[in-house]
Amino acid sequence: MARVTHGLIHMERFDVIVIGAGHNGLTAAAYLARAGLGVLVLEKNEYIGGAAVSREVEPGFIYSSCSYALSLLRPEIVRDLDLIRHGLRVIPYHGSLTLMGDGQFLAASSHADVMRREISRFSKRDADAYQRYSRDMRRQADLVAPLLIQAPPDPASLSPSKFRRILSLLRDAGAMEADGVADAVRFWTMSAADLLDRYFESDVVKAHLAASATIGTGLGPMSPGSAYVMLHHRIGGIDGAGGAWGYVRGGMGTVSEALAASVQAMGGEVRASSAVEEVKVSKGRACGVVLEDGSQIDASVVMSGLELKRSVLSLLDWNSLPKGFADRVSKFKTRGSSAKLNIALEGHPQFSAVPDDCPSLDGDIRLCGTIEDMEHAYDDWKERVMPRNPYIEMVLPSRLDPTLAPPGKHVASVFAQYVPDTLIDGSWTQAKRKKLEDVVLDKIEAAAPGFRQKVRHVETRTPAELEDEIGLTQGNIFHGELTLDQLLFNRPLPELAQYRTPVRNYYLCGSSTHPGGGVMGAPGANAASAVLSDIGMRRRSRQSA
Amino acid sequence: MSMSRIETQSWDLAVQPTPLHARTAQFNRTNQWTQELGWTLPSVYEHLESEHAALRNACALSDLNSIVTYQLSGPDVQAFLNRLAGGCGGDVRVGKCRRVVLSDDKGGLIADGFVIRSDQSHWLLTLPVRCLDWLTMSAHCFDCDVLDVSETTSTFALDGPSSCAALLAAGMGGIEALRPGAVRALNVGTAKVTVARISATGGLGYEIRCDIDDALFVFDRVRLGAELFRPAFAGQKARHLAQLEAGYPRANQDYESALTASLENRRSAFEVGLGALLEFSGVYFTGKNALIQQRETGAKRAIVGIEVEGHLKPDGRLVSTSAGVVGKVASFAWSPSCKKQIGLADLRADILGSAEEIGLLGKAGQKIPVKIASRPFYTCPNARRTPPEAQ
Amino acid sequence: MSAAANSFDVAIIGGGHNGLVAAALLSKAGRRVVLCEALPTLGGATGVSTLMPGMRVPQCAHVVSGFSPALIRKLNLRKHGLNVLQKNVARVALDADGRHIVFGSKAKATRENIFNWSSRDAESWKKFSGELHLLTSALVPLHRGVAPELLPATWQERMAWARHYLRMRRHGRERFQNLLQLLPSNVSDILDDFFETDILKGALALDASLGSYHGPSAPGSLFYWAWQRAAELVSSSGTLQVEGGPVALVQALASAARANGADIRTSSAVASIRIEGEKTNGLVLTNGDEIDASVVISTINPKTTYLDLVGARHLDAGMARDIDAIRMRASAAKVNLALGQLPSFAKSDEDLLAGRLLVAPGLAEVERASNPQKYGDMPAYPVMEVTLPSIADESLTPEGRHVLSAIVPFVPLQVAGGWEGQRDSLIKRVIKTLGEYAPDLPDLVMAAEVLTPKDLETQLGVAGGDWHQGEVTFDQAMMMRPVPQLTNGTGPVRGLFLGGAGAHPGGGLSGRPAVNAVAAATEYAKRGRS
Repeated sequence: MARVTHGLIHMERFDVIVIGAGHNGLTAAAYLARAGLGVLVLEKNEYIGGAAVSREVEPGFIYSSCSYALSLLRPEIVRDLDLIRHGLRVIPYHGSLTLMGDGQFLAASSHADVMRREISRFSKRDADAYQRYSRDMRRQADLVAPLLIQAPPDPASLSPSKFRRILSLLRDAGAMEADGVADAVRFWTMSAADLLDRYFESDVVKAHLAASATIGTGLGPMSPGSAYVMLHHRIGGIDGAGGAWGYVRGGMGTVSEALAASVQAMGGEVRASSAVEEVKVSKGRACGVVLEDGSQIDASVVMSGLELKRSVLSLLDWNSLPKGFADRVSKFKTRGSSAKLNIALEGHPQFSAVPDDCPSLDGDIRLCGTIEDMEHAYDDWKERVMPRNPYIEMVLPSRLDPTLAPPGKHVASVFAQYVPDTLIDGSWTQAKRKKLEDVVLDKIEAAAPGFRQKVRHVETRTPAELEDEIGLTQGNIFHGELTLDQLLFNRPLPELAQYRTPVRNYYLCGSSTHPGGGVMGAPGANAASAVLSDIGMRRRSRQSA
Repeated sequence: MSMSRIETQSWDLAVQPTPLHARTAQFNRTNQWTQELGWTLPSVYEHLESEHAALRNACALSDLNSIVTYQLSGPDVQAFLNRLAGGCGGDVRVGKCRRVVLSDDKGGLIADGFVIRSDQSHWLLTLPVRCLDWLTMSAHCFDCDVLDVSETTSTFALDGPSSCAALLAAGMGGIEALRPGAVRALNVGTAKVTVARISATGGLGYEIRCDIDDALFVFDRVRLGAELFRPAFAGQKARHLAQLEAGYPRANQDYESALTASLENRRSAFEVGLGALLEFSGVYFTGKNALIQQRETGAKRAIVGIEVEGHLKPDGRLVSTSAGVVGKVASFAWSPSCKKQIGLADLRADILGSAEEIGLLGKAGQKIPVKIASRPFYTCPNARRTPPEAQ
Repeated sequence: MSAAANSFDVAIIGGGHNGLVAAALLSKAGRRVVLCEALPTLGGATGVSTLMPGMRVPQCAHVVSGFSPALIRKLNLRKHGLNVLQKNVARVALDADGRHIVFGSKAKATRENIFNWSSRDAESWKKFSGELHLLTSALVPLHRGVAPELLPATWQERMAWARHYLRMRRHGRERFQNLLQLLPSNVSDILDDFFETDILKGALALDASLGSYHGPSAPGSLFYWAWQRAAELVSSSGTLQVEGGPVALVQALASAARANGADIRTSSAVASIRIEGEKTNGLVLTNGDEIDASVVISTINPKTTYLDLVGARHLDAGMARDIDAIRMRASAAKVNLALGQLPSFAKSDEDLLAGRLLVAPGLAEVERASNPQKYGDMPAYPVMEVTLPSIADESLTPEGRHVLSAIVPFVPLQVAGGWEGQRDSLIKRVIKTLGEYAPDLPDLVMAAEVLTPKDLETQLGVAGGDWHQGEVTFDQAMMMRPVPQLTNGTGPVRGLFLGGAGAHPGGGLSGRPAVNAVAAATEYAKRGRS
């Protein structure tokens, strides 16, 4: 928008440049545009959306190439940015299915009575214990939820306002009474397996719940800290239904498109195929970017939605950084642990263990085995070997969204867990990728005979592809592991936790920052607040009443 | 029907029929149903007022299968129940029932229910919430087995002043001697039946339990055998109304069970008005320390009966004083027996002692004054009396 | 026995070092004390076993780590026969080719050893030690005394938290942030960040994992390590080796307690703790004897104390569940060997071999060794901490002969197929591994014994084979130890106190849980009188 003539050459100038048109970059841009700033979003790929993207690789079939289900997108963001008007439609699904591999299955449902009866097939006691588990989980999620949409508390700060916030947070925690505080310690530090042992006796029920503790994380279900990942997957919700998950109509790209539409409606600009080479820094302040084609764009503020290491180590001149800073950034943990397969199917897969009318097939279908099986897969990952028996989570969004595939045909999004970012014998190659594809497809075939025959097209994305295409460093889907040393005020590093960097006017707004990964949008919104507060404005929130 | 077994999946059972569904469906003319703990029960068979009148003035049958029934066995049952339920849950003589409350560690009320002991070794615990997890946890280190028999027993009730005579007419000789809170096992045809003189309506009434296979047989036997007394059918709405008149709070309606409640919604037995069911002088029970402390410092909330004179219908459920909102009303209805609007309200305890005027908001925005009333709202004349048939 | 003979001020359950510390302290303060030990000998995990005639070896614990010198002075243990042979027993990363790294009191020597492997690592060593020390010293105040309340209710309790906050914050913003980042981290990532030398990382990872159920890559493992080091830091003398092995400490304690009039009874198993009106008034022994005492200190594990001796019927159901859920998982087995002579480790002398030898070729090997136990298996290639107690303590063996004592972490309580027949395979694996470091060692073995975690449980009463009486993880440490309802001498049964390793600050031979219990019990008795 704001073009200023500098002498003879046309030099573009914006108030804010956001690097990376992922959902967080776009969210930040939309908030800043709403505040009246001139915003430009730059994206290296020819499509926008980053990991929230819909792509038609096989004609007629639309893949949600990376992320594939929505829960964590904050309702405040949907409301503030008018995303419904810009085309976002969420189709909630009401269950999930866990296949143990030995013919047993658990068809989870959000209908409490159905869920209870389903669990009581394995243990009547567990069916009632599920109430207690849900209650405790909800208490913890309620404590965490308000933390998401604001900058993390800063316990090291001595400023009275920050300190008051810590105290009020402690008061909130204290209101949970000693039991609640003790449970908070348990949910944040215990292993999923140990935590579930406190509630359940049935292996099937435990495996079903532990599965979400492994997703995207370099932790096994028996590693301390993995219980938090279960909590992380439960803090979202759709339309006020806590913990609910859903598909986005038209694939996850619709989220990005709605966000981009919101940016543009507020006068911002989103530019694809514009890879940023470097952030220009002068006198310790960011003042614009240099694109790969050599052109330069000036801005008062530069924000990066990329993963931390890319934002700092690739985009900044190391000389402009404080001593030791680059070293600390390079120690940020981003081990990848998952691969993604997008499959076009000629027909609906039929699982031998499960009747075709099971409504839980609408949700995620987990081929997991017991907690021990998952832990074995994790042990393999630690040794960096090709997964032998990966944990697989598969969704068939075309069951609920007919826009994704031709009638009668389906798309499957398959997520395979514990895939190392590099293998012990070197990095990923074509042949190894094919091997992984076979391992995954064979495992699905075993659960759903005839599956492979229905496969029309497969797109396999190992951590290497995830890194190359959409910049997920080492293929880590959360832009950094979700362990306590990288969460809250530690995320990504203590000195970067308030979205600001040592380079003035350069901000981080990606999932590397608090509150972390998932299509949540909160990092972007919080970073926008940091920018606005630094230039003396406030993030406007639409009043709900 | 073919003999091949049709496999029922849990997702087919989102609407689960009770063992008496064949009959309840046959007589439910309004086709209004309600779900309680996963069971489908008739809400109103024909007309609420007539069903309520039958409960109060004649007799009425109702399906009680939403009551959760646990069977307890083992040498430590008594000790287990005392520890579980207020220090006195196990002090039940053979042939007696006892109303009990279950509390959690912090004194939060899990539920109120009954311990029913029909013979030396046959103990039942009936509750309005599912809590096998809590019971099993409580049974740890006790030689006591807890079995959920809700899916294999069927329960129905016959309540009302003529219920004793009606049961006698149906051939259940011997029940006329049952005093309030007594239980007896008897045979109806080949079916083994236990009849307990317990009624949530506050009047004369009997709970009749049998095996699920005999459910329809026993039910029909009572229904047809007592035809002379024209037993009506009472749906859940009429039962809940009668229960409200009797002043009994309902779990997960008037108070939320501590097993699922958030901290601010957790209530103790004192707060719900069931403190009399706790026995502090005896053995230790779960929540004793917390409840003793609460008894000393005083409760924060109180669930009390309220009355609204006249016919002004309140809009919404928030109870307020001039200073602001102080609580909310849960059950609320027009009571045909008392001829006024009554309800149970969950209020801040400090309001009770003060002279503050409390009120509900009316439809037109006006304030409807609310009076705190003692419970029960309606005392059945025949509640404690032994029926004349026995004499 | 007459009734008066069984009437005491304080009854103590368990004759391990914690129980004896409590007995010695209380009897010194003039209380009438009785101590009941179920086994025929005192000392629990500190016993001595005789491998063959004349060859004795500390059966289980092989060094005394973190025992407070103040206690030694206060109880006058030297007079009662305690003879400290070496202080600050050094850790040694053992290398098959003789490029050992000695982590002793001289930092410069350590750096020189590391320099042999990598100049970069030698440079990082100082910074690494600094970070580890930062974390460890931050935990020291928590180690000392009682833990702050989980939910501070009074101003005093809030001030305790504020003091802890300020103590950690006083070194400046950056170090405080660094601390918060380190606290939940794991050992492997930190080691990988600092070092490249496998043997260095392996030795440190092994040291960090001793006694823990989790491997070095588990989040929270750095806390475990720092917590154990803090125990040593508190006592200022580090790890001690005492003449006769840790059992000598126990004997000295027992003698000190007896000298003050404590009645110490062995082979007296407690059947139950008597309770009347939510208050304890004594013990019932399995032989039917009853002991009157208004204060009971239990130094056996909290689960047995509350579920078996007190009984669930005196507890809230939820609390009983929490106590039942205390995780006590086996962490290590002990293998003892009798050797014909000192084995020839490459480039070693007696000074070096008198240390704690860490046998772990690399970080990956330690991590790998930690995997099989999750599925009830033994590590195929065990890593271990080895001592040769007979070098410093000549009383253990005849001239020239030696005993070797190895702690093998990551051995499960129960192996698939049962321990019968698999004990030998564990010994074989240990000898084979040691043979790679000292080729002559396999031929020198004259006798061998193994103490599996199961043996620890059945023979020595160490429940779950966990010498910490409850894993030291965030959810079971400090204000959560052993469960939040039972911290700092609180609990549903008045007059009953936990003074074993299961209570804050936990395991090791520090004796601190007993000191805390004695303080709480004294306070209780005082309040009862007034």
